[in-house]
Amino acid sequence: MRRRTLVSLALSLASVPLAAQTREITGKVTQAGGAPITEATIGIVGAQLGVRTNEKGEYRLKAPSGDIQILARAIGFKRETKLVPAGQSTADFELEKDVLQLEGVTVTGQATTVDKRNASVAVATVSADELMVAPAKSLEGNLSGKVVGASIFENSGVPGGGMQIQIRGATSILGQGDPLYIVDGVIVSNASIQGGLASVSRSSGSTTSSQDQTVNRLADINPNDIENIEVLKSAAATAIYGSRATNGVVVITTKRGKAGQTRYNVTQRIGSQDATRLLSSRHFQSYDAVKATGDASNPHADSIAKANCNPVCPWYDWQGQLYNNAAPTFETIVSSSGGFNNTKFFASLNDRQVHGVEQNSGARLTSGRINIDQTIGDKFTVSGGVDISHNFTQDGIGNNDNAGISPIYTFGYSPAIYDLQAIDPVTGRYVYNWMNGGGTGTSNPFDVVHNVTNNEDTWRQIGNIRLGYSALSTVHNTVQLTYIGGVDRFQFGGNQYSPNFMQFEPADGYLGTSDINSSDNRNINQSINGVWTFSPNNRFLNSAQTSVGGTYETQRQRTYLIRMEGLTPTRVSATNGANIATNDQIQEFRDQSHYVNEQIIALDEKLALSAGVRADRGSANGDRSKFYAFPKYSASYRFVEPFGFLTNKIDEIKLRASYGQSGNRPNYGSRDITISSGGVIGGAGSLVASGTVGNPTVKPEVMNETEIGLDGAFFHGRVSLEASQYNRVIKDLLVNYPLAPSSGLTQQQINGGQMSTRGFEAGLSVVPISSKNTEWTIRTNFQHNHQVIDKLSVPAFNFPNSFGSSYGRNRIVVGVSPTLIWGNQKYSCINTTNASGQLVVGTGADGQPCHKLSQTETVTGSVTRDSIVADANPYAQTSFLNTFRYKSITITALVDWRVGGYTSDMTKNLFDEGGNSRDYDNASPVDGTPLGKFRYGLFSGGNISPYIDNGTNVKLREVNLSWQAPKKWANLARANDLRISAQGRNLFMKTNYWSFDPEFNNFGNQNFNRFIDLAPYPSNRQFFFSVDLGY
Amino acid sequence: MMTPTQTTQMRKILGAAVLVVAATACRQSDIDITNPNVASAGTVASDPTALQLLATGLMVDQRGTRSAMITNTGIFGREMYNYTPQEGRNTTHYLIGITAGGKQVIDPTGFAVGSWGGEYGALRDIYNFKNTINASAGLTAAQKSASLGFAETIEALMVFEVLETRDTLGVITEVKANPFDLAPFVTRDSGYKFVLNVLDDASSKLAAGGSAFPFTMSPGFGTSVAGADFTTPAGYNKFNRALKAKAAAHYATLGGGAAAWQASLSALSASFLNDAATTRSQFDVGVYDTYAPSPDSPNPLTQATNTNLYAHMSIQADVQKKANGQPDDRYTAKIRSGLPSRQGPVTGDGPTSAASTLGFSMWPTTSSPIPVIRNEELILIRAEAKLATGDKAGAIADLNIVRTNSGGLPPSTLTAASSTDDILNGILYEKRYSLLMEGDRWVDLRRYNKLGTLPLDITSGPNKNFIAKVMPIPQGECLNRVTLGGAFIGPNGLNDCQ
Repeated sequence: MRRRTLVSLALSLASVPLAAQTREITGKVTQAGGAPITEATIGIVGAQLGVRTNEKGEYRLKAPSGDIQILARAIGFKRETKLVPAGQSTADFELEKDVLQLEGVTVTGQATTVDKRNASVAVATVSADELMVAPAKSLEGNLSGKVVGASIFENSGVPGGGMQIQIRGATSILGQGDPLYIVDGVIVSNASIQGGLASVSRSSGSTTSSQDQTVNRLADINPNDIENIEVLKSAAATAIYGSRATNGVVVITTKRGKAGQTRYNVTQRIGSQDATRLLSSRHFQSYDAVKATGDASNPHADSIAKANCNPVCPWYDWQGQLYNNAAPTFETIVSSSGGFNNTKFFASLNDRQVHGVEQNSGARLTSGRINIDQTIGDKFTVSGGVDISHNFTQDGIGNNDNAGISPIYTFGYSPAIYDLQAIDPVTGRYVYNWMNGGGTGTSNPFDVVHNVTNNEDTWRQIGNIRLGYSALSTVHNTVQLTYIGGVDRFQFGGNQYSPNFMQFEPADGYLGTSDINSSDNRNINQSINGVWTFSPNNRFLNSAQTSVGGTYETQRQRTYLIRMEGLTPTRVSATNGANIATNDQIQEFRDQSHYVNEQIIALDEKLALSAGVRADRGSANGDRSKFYAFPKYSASYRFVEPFGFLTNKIDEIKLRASYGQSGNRPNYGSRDITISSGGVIGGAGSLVASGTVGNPTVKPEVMNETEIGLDGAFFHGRVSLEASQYNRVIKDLLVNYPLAPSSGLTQQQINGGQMSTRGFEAGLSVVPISSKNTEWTIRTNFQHNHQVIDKLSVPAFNFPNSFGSSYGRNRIVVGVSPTLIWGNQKYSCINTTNASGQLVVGTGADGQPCHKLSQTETVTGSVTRDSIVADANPYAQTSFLNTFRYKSITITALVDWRVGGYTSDMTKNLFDEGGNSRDYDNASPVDGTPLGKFRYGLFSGGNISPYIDNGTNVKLREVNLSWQAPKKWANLARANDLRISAQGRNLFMKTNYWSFDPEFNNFGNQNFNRFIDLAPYPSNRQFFFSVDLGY
Repeated sequence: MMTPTQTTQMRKILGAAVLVVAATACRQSDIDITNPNVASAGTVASDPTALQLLATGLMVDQRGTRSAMITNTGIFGREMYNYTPQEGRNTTHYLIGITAGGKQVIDPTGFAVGSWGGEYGALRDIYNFKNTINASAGLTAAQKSASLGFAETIEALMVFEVLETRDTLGVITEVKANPFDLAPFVTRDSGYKFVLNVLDDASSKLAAGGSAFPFTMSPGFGTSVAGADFTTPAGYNKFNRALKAKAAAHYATLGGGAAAWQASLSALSASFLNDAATTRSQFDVGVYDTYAPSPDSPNPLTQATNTNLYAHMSIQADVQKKANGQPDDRYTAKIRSGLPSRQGPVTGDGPTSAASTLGFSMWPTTSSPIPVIRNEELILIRAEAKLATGDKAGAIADLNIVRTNSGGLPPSTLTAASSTDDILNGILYEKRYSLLMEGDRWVDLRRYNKLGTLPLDITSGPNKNFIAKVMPIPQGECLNRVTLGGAFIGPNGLNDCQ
């Protein structure tokens, strides 16, 4: 992290007596146009020492006599070296902007960094400016399309969060699939705690489910506070994070105070939102058409259809009416930063209130942060930060449903031929939904969104402290000791309330449901690090940095719920009800590690070598005393002007190669040999054998990754290219061994599989125009990967959390990709194997060899087989980030282009089954059969293909148009700066996809089966108008 | 040589390294945390309250297997349908199955493969329970004997349930300490001998079991639900004898012959059979599995919450009339008519089953108990045994006790001069209505080679129904045996692994 390097640099040079300090060099560091650069670092090349510029950009450096080289560098600017002859005592620098971010440092360890140009692994960096092009509901949204190698998905249109990041594909089947998130040294939780919508929707069970439109807790981090984000991808980069690192590490650094007068920034945003696309529904042409759907089976529905269809039925835009919430969103951000004497601070307050397009849904994130850096004397530094947030989301209702409450689900089955917004004069409430059977198995969605509560409420406190001690500081040797401590603590509450008068409530015999689901989370991490840097100052060995250290981490989560039904009128609390369900689960992890790391820069800073190992032991492993070692090796070499004799257009080419191992620890409890509660009979509790047998030898999954890459800079810094090819082999995958049922037990989790991922990713940045008034940068990211299961020591199995072969799911099968969608398809006949195991191709009734039937083909005796339909993994993902500035106007646009990647469009299936799809009456390949009936007929006959749809799309993800107002305008508000911006997110999507968005997934965050679209909260776009004032 | 300054620097560097390493070492005990959500298997053995919990666990196991057994055999025996709207396989997998080797069979990977894992789960718990009892220092010899008799009775019942559903495929009679170590299949004959021996062994242990169990029995054994006291070793032994009588009667028709019929008759005389019964409650005396709302388990079959259970229309068509023209009292008490018509899924080839408007009413609430074995069944088992041992008159007399009192029907027209088969059919009619949805009809018809008399809803075309003879061995069982011990061969020499 940049700050870290600068702090430690400043420290180490603060007052070191240089052997031959005979003169003082002074000067000023400015940028083009003369504005001073504060916090720039000035140092003598070859020595570790340096000073920083003050708020006027001035510096004062003690230097030895003779000719010396002075280096000036600052974040966001290209470094510059100047020769200062013996007699000269001043040196001014004018630094060029580092538009392509070739400078900077990247994190290499708990307390170490390396210059980006000497980094020997690919690390993606996203700066605050890039991050905040347009506000997003959660940090992942801000990162979408900006991190090459990362796939970022939105689970649904629910406001306030619910997104997933996968870096270079899934690395585990049953293990943890989330990257490790570190904010200022604190390992923060990104838990997806199931809110409890299933207590009402019965999507799965009757309390909580992954289908609850869960918000993952990264949503609590305020993106406005972030200075930059580094995403560590390869195992060589993540090995230093040991057994929690196979999914990558996202290192987030928040803003810090800067020396000088206190500055204030105030941003006020106002915005709105609307649905990006809605699905419309069938326009019924006659009473008979309504009757044919079976929806008018209820006598009320029949009479409505008879009365309203004369002969053409009216059409009500129910979706347009329900998802029309354009209520204004507000965001206020106030921050201040400054520094005096030995103290620097940054403080911010943020309040963001957004609404969702579904009536009665929204989110409010309120947070405050204080970061303080303090130096004490020559040798000590203390940095700390505290972040307190309150995140309240009204998630609305959506996704899978077995109770009749999910609006899109209901619309799929209900002909839109009467007004659902009408009020019943008798009850004073919304009219019943008489369609879809009209009974207690359905509901009026307007009634649902106005009366059913589905909220999540999180209070969170994150604190970090870093103590630094400079144990030794000489010209050639420094030793820095650092203690880092972090605490992340939050209290989550999911709350559902469905009043007793709801149409669907009697379905289970109890009127009304109340559910409260509470989760206490506490994550603490600590590390102690010693870093010895040896800088002999010769061209063969520039520096050798040795770091040793250790970490200790604990995580504890306790989640408890009460669900109660049979509520009396107006009582919301879960008390005195009937059919009570309670649950209480504790999860705890403790992990400890030691590490050693060596980093060598040599041959005129052209060669970089790194090697290290981290050894971990933890409470989740079968053998808790055993240390598992994760080594890494990497090297890079910079060719500066490699073809200088031919052309000067190639500034630099760096070749890099790395190998590393990282781990993914076993799941909680899979090691424990336990005896379970067997339930209650006659009021007495019981104990029975646990179906799952603990595995005392379970150990971490291990990812082995080799990465080779090429980074180049061309045309004097106007073009940069970064390309990487990686090959990952993940061994000891956790899988469930299915025990023979006659053993009386069910399964045991074992390390019994291997998966490989090969991929290519590249980023190309170009600055076609760069002049005083005009600047244009284009950044293009491309990524592609392919995964395959190499080995399994268990039978092939379906990835958990799916709806089965009728609806498509990923299967874990040796020799093929785990991202393939398997589902029912029709074959003319089945091939068999003979006694010696050879394939015998059968012949169908059509006289042809067995083959998959097309959608219009019928062969007598055809059979349905669970077989591969398509690949859910996109063939390629490409994003284009364009920034164009003309004078004081800047326009930025991010376009995402996904090619391939199939989705199981079960939303379309619902509309077809209900006879309500918008294109139901269109022509189909079979004369006389309408399209919707044709598709559903294939499906119910055992052919899923009409619902496995290509997710190719182009999305205009972010747009920002901003104007830097003239100073006099700013002065009117007594400010120094005034910027006015218009921003938009997800403004536009071009796709042939039938439903809302192929990114969506009913099951939320998970490793596989990330392609099931089932009645989600609709996709939506957001608009903002922002005013930023700087004081 | 280092200069003194260099030496100092080196000391500082090494000192820092030692400091860091020392500071980051943490104690092993910090990492040794226990799982607070579940009991550790190790600590249960030494916990004095565990005995009650483990004993209750066996009664929970028994309850869990029973309702599954009733619905499985109920569909095969054309007593019921499970018309879950979202899941047509609850019908098609039972009535149609798949075609293999040119004939219709039940899909071993499908839905109709239950009544297996639950029974073996119970055997695992019984295995653990016996170990706990044998190792217990706090129990008297009588208490140990009573406890073992209790556990072995359930053990026999579990194996008996597997035999009833797998019949000729054979059975596995034990679990081994190591779950990867699989016990072999034994033949049906060996299986029945095992069940009868274990029941006898359990009975003698119960007889030596003193006056009380060292744990409390669940309410299904107590007078308020059971109508008699089965909560003492002596009372429980009558339940044991009732099970013996039933298992012996089954074995008698499957190769056990006359000796088994005699064993059945003598077990009946030691059971709670009461042939003086005239009222419903007297016929209902017996052992039950009890249910209650959460946190207990609600009755999974009750009409109060399960709207998918339908009765086969043949129950209405075949019912006999009372003198006043009204149907059999048992029909009236157990069947609801006029439900919304439902049927199995309709495919491109037409319906997969018949429509029904009948439901059940014997479990009105989520707390309604489900019987394991009742006096009414014992009287009818005695009728079977008497018939098989040549006492036609006695068989008809027993039949009529049930027929006239439980059914409210006029006495049977059968006489000692009637053919054995006619009398058997008479007994089977009474069993059909007396023991509706108690897991008997499919099993009885198979024992007497009369499965062909069951009605088929769809008789031709791709959706043609068939009567399954046995439930298959679940594929998971087969795959495991293939993985661990070469090809899977069942006890009858057939490879039933599809």
